[in-house]
Amino acid sequence: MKPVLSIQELSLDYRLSKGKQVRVLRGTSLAIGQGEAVGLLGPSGSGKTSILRFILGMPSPGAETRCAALQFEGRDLLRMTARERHTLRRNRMGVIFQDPLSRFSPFRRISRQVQDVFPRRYSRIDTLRCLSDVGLADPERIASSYSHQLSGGECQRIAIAQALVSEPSLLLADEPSSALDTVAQRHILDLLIKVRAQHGMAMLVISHDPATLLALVDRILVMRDGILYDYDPPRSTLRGSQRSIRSKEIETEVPLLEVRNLRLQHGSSRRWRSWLESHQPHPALQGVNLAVRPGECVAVVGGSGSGKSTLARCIAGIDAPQAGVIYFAGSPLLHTRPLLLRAHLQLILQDTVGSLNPRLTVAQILEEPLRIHQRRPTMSHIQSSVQKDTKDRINRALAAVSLPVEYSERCPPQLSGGERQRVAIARALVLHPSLLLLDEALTGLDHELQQSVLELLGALRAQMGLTCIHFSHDLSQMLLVADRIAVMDEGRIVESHPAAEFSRAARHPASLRLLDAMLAKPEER
Amino acid sequence: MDISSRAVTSITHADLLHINRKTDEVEPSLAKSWQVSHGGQTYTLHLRQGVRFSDGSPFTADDVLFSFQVYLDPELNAPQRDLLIIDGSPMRVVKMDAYTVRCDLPKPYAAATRLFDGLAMLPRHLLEPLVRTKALKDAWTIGTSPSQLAGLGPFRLKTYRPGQTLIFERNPYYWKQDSAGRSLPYLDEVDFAVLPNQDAESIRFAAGQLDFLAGLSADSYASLEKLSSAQSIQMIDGGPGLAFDLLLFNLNTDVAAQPQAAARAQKWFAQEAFRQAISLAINREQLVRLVFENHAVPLVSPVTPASRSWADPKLQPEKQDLPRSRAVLTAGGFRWQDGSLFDSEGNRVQFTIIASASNRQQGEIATLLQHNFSALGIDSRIVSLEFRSYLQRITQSHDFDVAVMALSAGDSDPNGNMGLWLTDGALHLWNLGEKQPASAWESEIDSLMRRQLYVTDRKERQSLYYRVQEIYAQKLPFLSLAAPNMLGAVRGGLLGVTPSALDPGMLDNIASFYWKK
Amino acid sequence: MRVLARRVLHSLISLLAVSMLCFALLSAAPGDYFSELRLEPGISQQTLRAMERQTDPRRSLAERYVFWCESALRGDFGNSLSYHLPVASLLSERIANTLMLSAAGLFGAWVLGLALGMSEGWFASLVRVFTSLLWSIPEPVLALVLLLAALKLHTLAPLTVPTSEAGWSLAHFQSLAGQLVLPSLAMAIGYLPVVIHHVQRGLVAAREAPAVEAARAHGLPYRRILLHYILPEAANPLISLFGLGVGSLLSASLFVEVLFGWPGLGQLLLNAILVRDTNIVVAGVLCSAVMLIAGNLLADILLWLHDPRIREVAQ
Repeated sequence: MKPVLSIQELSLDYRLSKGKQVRVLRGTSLAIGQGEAVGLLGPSGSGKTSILRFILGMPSPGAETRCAALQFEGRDLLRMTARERHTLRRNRMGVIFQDPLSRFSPFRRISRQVQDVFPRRYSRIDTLRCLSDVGLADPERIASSYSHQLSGGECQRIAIAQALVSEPSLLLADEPSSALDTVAQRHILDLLIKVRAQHGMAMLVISHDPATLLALVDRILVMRDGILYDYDPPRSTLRGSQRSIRSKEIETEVPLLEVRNLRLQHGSSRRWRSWLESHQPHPALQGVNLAVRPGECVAVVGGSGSGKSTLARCIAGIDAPQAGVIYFAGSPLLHTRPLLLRAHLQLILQDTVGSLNPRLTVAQILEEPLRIHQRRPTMSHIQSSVQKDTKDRINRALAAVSLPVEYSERCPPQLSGGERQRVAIARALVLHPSLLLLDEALTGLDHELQQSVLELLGALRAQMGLTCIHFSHDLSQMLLVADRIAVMDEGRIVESHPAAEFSRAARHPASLRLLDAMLAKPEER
Repeated sequence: MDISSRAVTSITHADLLHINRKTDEVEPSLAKSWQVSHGGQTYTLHLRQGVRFSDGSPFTADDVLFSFQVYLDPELNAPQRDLLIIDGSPMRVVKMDAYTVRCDLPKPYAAATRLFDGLAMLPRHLLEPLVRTKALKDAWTIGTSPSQLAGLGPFRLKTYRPGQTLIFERNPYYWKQDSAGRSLPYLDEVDFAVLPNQDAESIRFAAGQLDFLAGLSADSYASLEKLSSAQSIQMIDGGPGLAFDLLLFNLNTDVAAQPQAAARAQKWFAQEAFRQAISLAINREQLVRLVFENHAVPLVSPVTPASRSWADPKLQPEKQDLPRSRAVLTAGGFRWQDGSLFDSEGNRVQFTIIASASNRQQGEIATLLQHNFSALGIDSRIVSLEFRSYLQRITQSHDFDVAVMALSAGDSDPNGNMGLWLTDGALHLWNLGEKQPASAWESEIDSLMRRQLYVTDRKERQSLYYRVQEIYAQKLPFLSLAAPNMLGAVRGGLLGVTPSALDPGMLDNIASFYWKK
Repeated sequence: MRVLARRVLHSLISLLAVSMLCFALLSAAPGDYFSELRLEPGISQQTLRAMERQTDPRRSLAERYVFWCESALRGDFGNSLSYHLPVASLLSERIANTLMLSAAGLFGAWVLGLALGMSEGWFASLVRVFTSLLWSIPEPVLALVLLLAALKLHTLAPLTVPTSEAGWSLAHFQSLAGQLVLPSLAMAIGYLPVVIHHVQRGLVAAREAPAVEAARAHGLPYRRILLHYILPEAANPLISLFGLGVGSLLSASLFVEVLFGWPGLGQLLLNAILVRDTNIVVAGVLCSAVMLIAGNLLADILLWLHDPRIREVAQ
């Protein structure tokens, strides 16, 4: 059978600053047969997306690609002009990107953007039909909406509809479900499976998550050391080490952190001010109670808008609650906090792009908190570190998040999303905090990396009694990580159970919703 | 050119008697003749008959009476009022018949006929209702619709766009004729453009968009002179006018809460010898050459050559004489140490020269003076001030050491300088607002000036005024530096432009401007 | 509605503050309108004092301000001391002149800037070099060079602005356009680098936007990508810049006005400040402030029309 796509001897280099180059692929080959679905598995930063862009003819900036042959439907793509490649994309290839929301122009109605993809004649009926084909229940509403009015799942469905308009012989999908919540993820995967069955096109799916690929494709290639290998799905799961950590019971009755009746409502105080400024408020807190024992790992789980992030921001001291008290190690916390306390309480956010200064190198980023806190020699915790070599601490922090030492000279824009997240964790750990708040901090990471970070956190907990609070939407993951699950809904903690008993003990509708979504996921874990 | 409302008045209005700018003698204007009686206390003026305002209505003695009534009205505060008040009481004007008026002065007044020059005769038929309703000030301005304005001048206003243009058209009813009996003016229309500065004026002139520029500064004159051969531009240098530049010492005695340095400086300035030495140190020829490119004359007193017979011929501008200057200073107790001048109490002599930032030439003068003073070992500093704050310091707060200034006499006649000479005069700038003369020589100047007011004999007046100038030259309350020339430029072919020291300068005979055929 | 009410309230507060500041600063400045008359020979001090009293009998600053506010609310901005005319009529003409000049300049700068800024390839690099060149030359120098060049070529337009009194014939329009060319060109050139820079920068960023990449990946026709994806993506900052430009219509042209002798608001204000003609200054500055507010409002309205996300937040 003639392959739809064949790539031979593909090598890929990233140009770094100062003329340095990093070789990502060293002469690898790939062929996709007609109607075949192939998955490409690799950790973040391994150059998966660059391969996809190379096939599309829209090379990533800074990537240098060389290739012996690139054929699509028997035609040599390397000899085509940019215009011909453009036309080819229009007629024969379909693409789905990772972050569906940003892939639509916010200025153009969805109907228009779908119509744009049609080759020649189109009608509104066509548009609506192709929207309903991808399982959108209310195509009229969707068509007349703007992208920001839709959910990520809806957007991804529209993107799939767009990709299918030209009846492509090859569908390229770059992390099609990873930016979505668990429920939407499941739906999108189902849709892709259905679409493939209907249209019978070949597929190349890229993901860091073996589960996604296993559900979708016939064969998985994994990127390792610049070469693509056939992937042998591991039947063993990664649970063992987690369990061992969780089994370590830490029996202390005084909670390290206690939150009592925390309330935050926007707009009630400073009315004139909010009237003048009209900003978007965070979800409110309606009296949150939560206690966390030292060494414990608690997960606050809830859907978006439940107030998780607001709670994290209050505990971290970013937002000021209007009522309620936060006790830390038995004493109440004020909104303005001494430097010492801030070192003890570290927050890690999901959005690492925004939180890391792009101009500083990784070493400088890690050094910064040390420098700030070293100015206070009275701090018992930090005092020992003053004498120690800063560089040594940075290297150990990097090693702790398994980043090579050479990375210390790179800047955030040169790192992949997963690497940036590791830098952010390293930055929090370098001060040896006693309480770590992780606000969706694991969400953007690929599977292996999540695993290594979780192991790292486990080790730190064992070594120095680190206490963690995860704020996450992903119940399945939290069940693996946390000792206790607290479910949050509409600004309240509605129930809280030990992780092992959660699936049996949960009663609240919000908890049940989360469980349903989790169980709907493909059973590969 | 920037046209002041006074220039507009001179174009659109006429006076009873007019000073001939060439001869400096009073000539008939709207009044065809006049007689003096009662020992110079009564002037009878015979008006021209058949004269019409620019709206066609006739001009009679009633209009004259009305005009004087307006100028003398204490509530209207016309600037002309001060001129018509002689020795504390106003001039009285009586109508004899439709074409004859009599003016009664409270005292015989030396330059009485000169008072009539520039006193515009107003149309009673248009203005009387406004005076009755006290609305004259607001209603009858240059902004009034041209159809509501009427005058006796050679032109009448056609369009007025504030701060932009003034367009005058020929007054068809103008009464004056040239020697050949042709009705004046020759020109049908005159446009005045208001431009932000003299550079803009020069550029527009060079571009051929303006035909006549008056009141040029020396450097604009020089830059246009370069073009004159290529572009058929005729340059006009009318010789020195009534304006002059001076160096003012702060001799005010009312300076409140003086800092020590200022008090010290005032102590030096109060010494005659110091002022004389400073005067001797100034190189006036150099100043004329460098600042005015030779379009000025060095001065010895505020009476410029434009005042003709009134300038004391015995007084000649002093040349720079540093040895004499040093000798004078030494005699005054000053001494030198390492080239710097110190007073008898051991204080270093240093002061600040203020100049107006809006006047380029004042800045240049100040720089030259600073240079001259440094030759004496005096350390002076120049501070350029925004014009209003500069004026405020000189006329109100009296917070300055010395100032470079430009002033202008009101008339070539001695009366034009009364404000400067009299102790309580508005321009008695070196010691403004003093009630009693501070010294014997000042009271002598006061009495001489007051006497000359009422002396009708020209020779006697001259000798009185010469005496004033001699006292000045001896005491030097301020230093007269130079009188800049009246400069202008005319497009080739526009003829009849003559310089004039009195207002409105070269526009005075605008009725006789004409284009060469 | 609430947004609009808030904007109006903000504007009123800032206008009030501007007028107060103007008054306070002007009265703090040394000298007054009559200072110059003190050097006139032949005007006695009594007369001068009488003149001062007549024009402004309310001496205290607060009283004068309150009086001014009262009459301003009635639409009367007082009379100019130097022109003896109502400020309103004086300003309206000058504002029209300035608007004519700066609107032509702004329009020219935007048309040229959009055309040049949207270029691609080697020409874009050329434009970039040209832009930095223009940017490095001070605007006064540019304008002066332009003026001197026109002088050399004898193309300097005559300086009277034709009035509508004479009727709006074609000839009038032509002569007006002729006079506008040079000063508005000077303004446009001064503003051009800003526009080009923002257009180029906006387009570079917009070309890399995820939505634009998706459009390219779907193989949309290039023109459609440019018109419907790249330009809207780049438009928001440009709309704000345009609003700023409109807001500074009355205040940006001072230098060009002085240099070219254009009888606009800037020149009038400058003179009024120098001679302390308070009423003109305050009213003129207020007009500039109103223009600024209007410009911002215009930008907000355009943004509201352009960006559905903003519409949603505003509701």
